[in-house]
Amino acid sequence: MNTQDPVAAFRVEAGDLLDQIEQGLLDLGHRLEDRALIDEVFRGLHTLKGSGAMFGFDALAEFTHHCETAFDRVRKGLAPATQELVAVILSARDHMRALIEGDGAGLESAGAAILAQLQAAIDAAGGAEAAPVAAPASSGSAGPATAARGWRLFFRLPAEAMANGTNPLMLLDELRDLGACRITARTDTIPALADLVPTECHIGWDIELRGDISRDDIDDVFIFVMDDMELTVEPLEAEPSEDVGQALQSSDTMSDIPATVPEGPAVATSAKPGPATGPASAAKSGESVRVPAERLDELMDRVGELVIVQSRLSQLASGHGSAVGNELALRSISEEIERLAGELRDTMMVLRMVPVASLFSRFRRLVHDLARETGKTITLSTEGETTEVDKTMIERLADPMVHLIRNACDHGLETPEDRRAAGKPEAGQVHLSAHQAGGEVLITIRDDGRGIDRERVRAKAEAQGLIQPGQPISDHDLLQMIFHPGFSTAAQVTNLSGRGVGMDVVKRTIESLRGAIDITSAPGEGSTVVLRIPLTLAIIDGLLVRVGEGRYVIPLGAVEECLELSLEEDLRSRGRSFITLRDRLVPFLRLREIFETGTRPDPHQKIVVIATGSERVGLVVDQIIGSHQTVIKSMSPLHRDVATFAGATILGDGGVALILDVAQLVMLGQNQEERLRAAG
Amino acid sequence: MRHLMAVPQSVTVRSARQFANSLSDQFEAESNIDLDLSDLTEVDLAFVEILYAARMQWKRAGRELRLARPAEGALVALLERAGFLTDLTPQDLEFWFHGELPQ
Repeated sequence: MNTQDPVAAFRVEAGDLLDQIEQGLLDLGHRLEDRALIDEVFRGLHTLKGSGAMFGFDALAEFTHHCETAFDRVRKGLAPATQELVAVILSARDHMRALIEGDGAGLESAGAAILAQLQAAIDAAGGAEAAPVAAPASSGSAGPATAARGWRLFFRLPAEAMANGTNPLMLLDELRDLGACRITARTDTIPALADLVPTECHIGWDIELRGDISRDDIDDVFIFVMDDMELTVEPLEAEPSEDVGQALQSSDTMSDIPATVPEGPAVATSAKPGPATGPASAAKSGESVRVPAERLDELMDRVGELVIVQSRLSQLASGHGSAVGNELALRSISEEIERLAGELRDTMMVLRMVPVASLFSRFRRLVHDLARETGKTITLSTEGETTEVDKTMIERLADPMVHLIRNACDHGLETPEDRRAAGKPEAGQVHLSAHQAGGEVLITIRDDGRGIDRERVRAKAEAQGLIQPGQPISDHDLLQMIFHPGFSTAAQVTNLSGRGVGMDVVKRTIESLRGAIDITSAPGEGSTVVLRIPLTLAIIDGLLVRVGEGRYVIPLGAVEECLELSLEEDLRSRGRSFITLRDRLVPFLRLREIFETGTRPDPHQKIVVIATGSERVGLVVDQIIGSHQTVIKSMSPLHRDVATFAGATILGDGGVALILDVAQLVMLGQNQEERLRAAG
Repeated sequence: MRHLMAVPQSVTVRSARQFANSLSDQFEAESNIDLDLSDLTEVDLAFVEILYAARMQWKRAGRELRLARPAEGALVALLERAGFLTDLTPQDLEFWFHGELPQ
């Protein structure tokens, strides 16, 4: 994101606001009477409307205005918050996101439909007294009367208000919306040009506001600038309002002057840094990450140290001092740079880490919608939200988790009637948790539903030919069947799940992240899916090996052990390619042959045993060079389909080493094992 | 000596500093200024505030700052919307509209 682009910055801020609004609404769904939540949602809508208008998102500002108007009735106690209203405003929030990400073209009918639903929800909640939702912004609305004649106000904004994006004209317009308004600008504190900071605002405003307007209504106008501004509000005295009449008359004499100018092209766009652009430039918000300032400070410290070391190196290169002294100094600098590089890498990695809460919070809405669609009562609980994961990982985990949570809600949890009959609480539980274990993060999705029906899984597996009828199979292996492509035990296909796509995609996605997925299930008690994923995708600890002339990296996390393969044993095992490891046959692959190196085997070949889950395979290499901190680079598009490699890395000498894809190699080993078994 | 200064098409809080500097340069040149607003189509309160500040400075120096032609269009809409035309003083009426309210 270009940080100088205010429209892009608005999109990021608006995305955060929408998230806050969504969370507020979801909380409100559970606590409909909570005034603080109602105020929070209202403030979110109000800010979004104001800043949307300021940055040229007129369609967004207008749509949000209608929602704000409707929600204002709830805030003022004129209509109760209802589940229906919450659901409609959640839909409206999705529509707002679409308006932010695009230019609003083609979304008009969808917006109108949502506003119609909103009107219906307000009508249902507020009865005959409900106000029209889509009333024009300038039509004005008066709250409960607390000052029968009105108010006299004076306000002056903080000097830097305009530079910070506050538009005093919008505040004046909002006051006009409240009732008959006489506005007089005060210029007595504007300094002479030589003393003026041109971006500061020194104008004050005297306002007489007539009508049944509550003090709260006035405070609401200034709700976001109240803390720093100068504001006095006092009830109007009991004299007749001749002056307002005169003022209105004097305006009438200037009939060619627009009474209000929000729609006037020149003025209306005056405070907009740039027009809202189309979809092509939209929604870059996902590409930014917020970093706590102290982490940047830490990074700056490391960079500072690096600059000092670089300076020492330059001095040394200038050639003063004895050869022995120089060699010692060079070694010291080398060690220093090694330390700093390690620290810089660690600090940089931390910058990319974001709490898993940002992932979990997305699923509250999902569960809310699923509960409505399925008619089930579902409670989502979370734990370990502060656990941090690489930002890329968070993005790539979202889709698989949506599948898993949908499955849990749709298939796992029973209907309220079935749960009652089974002696369970009516509300089904879905629990998400995250915790770090070494270099991995374990994310658990647990439900307390009916559990996986083993009989149905077996029947389906037999029908698909995955196992022979009556073939003995361990419980673990049986449950693994659900990860086969096209495997679904759902008796009924719904729009949520049951189409047989999903679990295999989930498994593939998790494995592509160098992770693993485990599933356990107890009949009648529920299922638990555990995703084990590495902390980061960017750097791994690797084992650097040589095969022929080439060097390769094996992810260290997958390495179980290394063994010597003597030439005799190599010759003896030809045609079998199995080793016996603690009474268990483990297949092995000769990488030299797979990679067709055309070289002779090293007399001291090694077998590196790697594993995913319970599956193991040995990789025969010519030499183990040692452990290696591996910065992963993507393969070029030309090589993206080469399944055996997960990426590449650049070595200290500038050479390139390919990173082996452990999951693919294990699968290759298993296939080889099956072929050999089949051949007898 | 009178000098005609053309005001750019847009003077808002984003370009306020530049416009204020141009005016200050004219003040240094000891000129009486006629501001030509014929290109001005985009304007916000920062412009109005700068003109009030400039008027004060020119007046203190015994010099004259005025509009080449009465205000119109977006500027008048802004003045109205922001309450500058309520209780208009004779000085303001003279400055913005050359003494005559637009009909």
